[in-house]
Amino acid sequence: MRRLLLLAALTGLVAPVLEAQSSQFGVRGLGIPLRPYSPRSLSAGGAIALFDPESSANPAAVASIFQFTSLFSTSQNFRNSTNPFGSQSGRDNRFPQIVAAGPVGGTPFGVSVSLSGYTDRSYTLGTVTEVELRGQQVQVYDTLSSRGGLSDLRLASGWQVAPWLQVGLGLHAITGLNRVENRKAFSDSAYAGANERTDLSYLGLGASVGATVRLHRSISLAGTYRNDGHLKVDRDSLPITRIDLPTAWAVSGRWQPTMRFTWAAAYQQKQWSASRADILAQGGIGAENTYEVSTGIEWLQETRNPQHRPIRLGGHYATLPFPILTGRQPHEYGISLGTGFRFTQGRGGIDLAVQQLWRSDGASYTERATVVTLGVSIRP
Amino acid sequence: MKRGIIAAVGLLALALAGCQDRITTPGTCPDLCPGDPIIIRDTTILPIVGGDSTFFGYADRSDRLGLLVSDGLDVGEYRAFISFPIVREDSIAVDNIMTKLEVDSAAVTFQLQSRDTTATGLTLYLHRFPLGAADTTISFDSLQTLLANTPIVDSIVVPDTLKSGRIGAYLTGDDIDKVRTSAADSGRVAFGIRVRASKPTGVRLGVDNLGSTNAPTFEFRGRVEVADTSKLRQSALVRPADIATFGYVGTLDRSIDADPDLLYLGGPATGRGLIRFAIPPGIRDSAEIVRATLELTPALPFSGLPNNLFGDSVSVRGVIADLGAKSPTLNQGSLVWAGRMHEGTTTPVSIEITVLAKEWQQPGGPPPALFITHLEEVYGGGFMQPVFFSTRSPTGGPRLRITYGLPTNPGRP
Repeated sequence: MRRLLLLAALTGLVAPVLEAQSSQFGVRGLGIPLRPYSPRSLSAGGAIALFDPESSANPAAVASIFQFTSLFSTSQNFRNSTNPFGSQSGRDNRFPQIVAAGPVGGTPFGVSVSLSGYTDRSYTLGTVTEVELRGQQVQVYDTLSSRGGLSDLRLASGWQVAPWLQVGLGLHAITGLNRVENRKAFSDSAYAGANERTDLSYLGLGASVGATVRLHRSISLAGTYRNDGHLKVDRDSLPITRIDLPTAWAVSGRWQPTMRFTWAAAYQQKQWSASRADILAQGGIGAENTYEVSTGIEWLQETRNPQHRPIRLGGHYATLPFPILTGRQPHEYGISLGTGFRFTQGRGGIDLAVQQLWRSDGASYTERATVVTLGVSIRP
Repeated sequence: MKRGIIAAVGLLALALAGCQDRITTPGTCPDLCPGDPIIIRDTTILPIVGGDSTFFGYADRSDRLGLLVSDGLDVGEYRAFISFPIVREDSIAVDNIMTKLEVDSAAVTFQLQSRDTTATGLTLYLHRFPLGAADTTISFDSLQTLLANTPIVDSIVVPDTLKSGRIGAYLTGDDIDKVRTSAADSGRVAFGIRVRASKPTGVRLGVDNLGSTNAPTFEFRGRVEVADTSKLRQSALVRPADIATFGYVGTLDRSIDADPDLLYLGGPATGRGLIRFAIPPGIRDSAEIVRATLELTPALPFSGLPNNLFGDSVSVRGVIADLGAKSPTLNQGSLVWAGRMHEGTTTPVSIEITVLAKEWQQPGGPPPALFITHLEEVYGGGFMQPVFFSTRSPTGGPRLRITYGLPTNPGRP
């Protein structure tokens, strides 16, 4: 338990360095939603996340952890964005999932502390215009950039009620900071640049409940419900607004016909429309309800050491909550592939997930991204 | 096992190698921007009416780093004088031993600091003055009379290609007697200086009461009889001993009977203009100044020494505190700006003071007031004595043009 607390403190300490992916679909609203999944779940399309104690999707899954585990993951995002103003390749790095979890000795409980990305609002937009100043045409370069987003700090506990039933409760603190910078530069060096910086800070509290049920030796179901309440928004320490956050629910089914093979499918829905009125009041475009469907498989090559060199495949489709232009809800679909390695008698592990994502608003805003996620886990 | 570790290290290295962000996306506002670009505005701010004045007397003779000498310039006539302290010509110390000096030449040298490079045939004339005939109280007419009635020792022909550098008169043979001093003069020697060229012109010669290399020199050169052959040639050299022994006098001093409704800069009385502004709170507190330009309109055509670097410039300095004439100035080099005055014109002068205007916005920053000075004030004065309209003038008063950005609080959802 002391080790758990120590690692929990460490995860808290590293919270400020959380960064997230940068996408033009993260410009609006609260940013692009992030999936609080471990590399293992990501490589299976997210379908096994509700059963995965290293993901932060279902607090009930924490009950299935039998060994203290800490996980640190980093992801590198290579993307190409296209919109009516041009195309641009970019890359960015983030640390999407940090988890410390373990069983509470002698009890049927498991405890987990995790820090996950909730939404990402890191972007830089560049525009060039020409204005008349003092009777002369001067080219003006405007750059609007934002760094940061929302993070989800979760404290969860799972209870192994019976061999076939696990339930769990999670408490969530949603915090974050957007450092927004507006810059203006001129082609005429007689004009100094103008700069404007704003810090938007967020704080919200939420809770989640979940359960996993083993219906049959090879079939399990999982479900979770989450309510994130509302988000208080401060601009440079001055409260400016409150944004309602969505409720969400998800269900997942898992089929394990053999020790080596797992197939899972999941469905999730988030009522982002709860945020719409607050976002519109702030001058935004709005927010739409979203859903996500995913499916994936995991093929184990070594049943004695199951997480050593497994093969994971998956795919998902999701709608995104914040339209770039009114009336055009963007969506995302992706395929994923991954594996993992265990060494030092399973105490150390590395999991790798490679995702190929396509995003579009159905018209002129499109994006293609390759996301490589690497997770390093330790089981002392 | 080993392969697993190698693979793990490799993957980690790959992940860390890619940790550089490049996240710019093309876009335009308002289509894609969750916030408006910074709004740019341009405005003109007039000084506080009656808050601008001319003050004189910022440099005295001890601040002079140059002797002005001219001939036929519109800005006035200037003549100079200089005397050197005692110099022995009979002996000189070599290795701390007084040794007999066999004088074979004498030299009077000056540091030419500035000239009109388009004036050809520039020649300086050295007149031998009686000791005590010229001092700091002498008038221009008296100095001119002295020059007319005293013999020319020598002339210094300045090469047309020389913009600045050391120039001198070198005397040999019987000409050395022209600079020898009588016993009654105690070995001291004095000269008057005037100048001529193919057209009206002027020069500034370096002087320095600290005796630096910019100072004029007078020397006797000759041979000594010593064993060390590298020390056979020696010279006995002196520089002006104090500020009372050199000076210049001109015919124009605009500080005399100055119009209080105009702003005077430079000249023998070192005029400065103090201008005060009231920056609107909306700009001072909320805007980001991207360009601030002080515009001054001359009341008289600019007249000085043509093609004189720095001589045609007006500079601006902020003040630490507004104490009127005695306001201490911000002296950092980065807080001094210059604007060019075009010789023979009344073209308004524009001076970029963006950095100073930004300083005015700082909490506890300097007050929105500034001194305008002639850039050659640092030499103790120059030929040009610019005159500008003030806020009390019917037209053409100073004005401050400010281009600024207004925040838009970007980052809306």
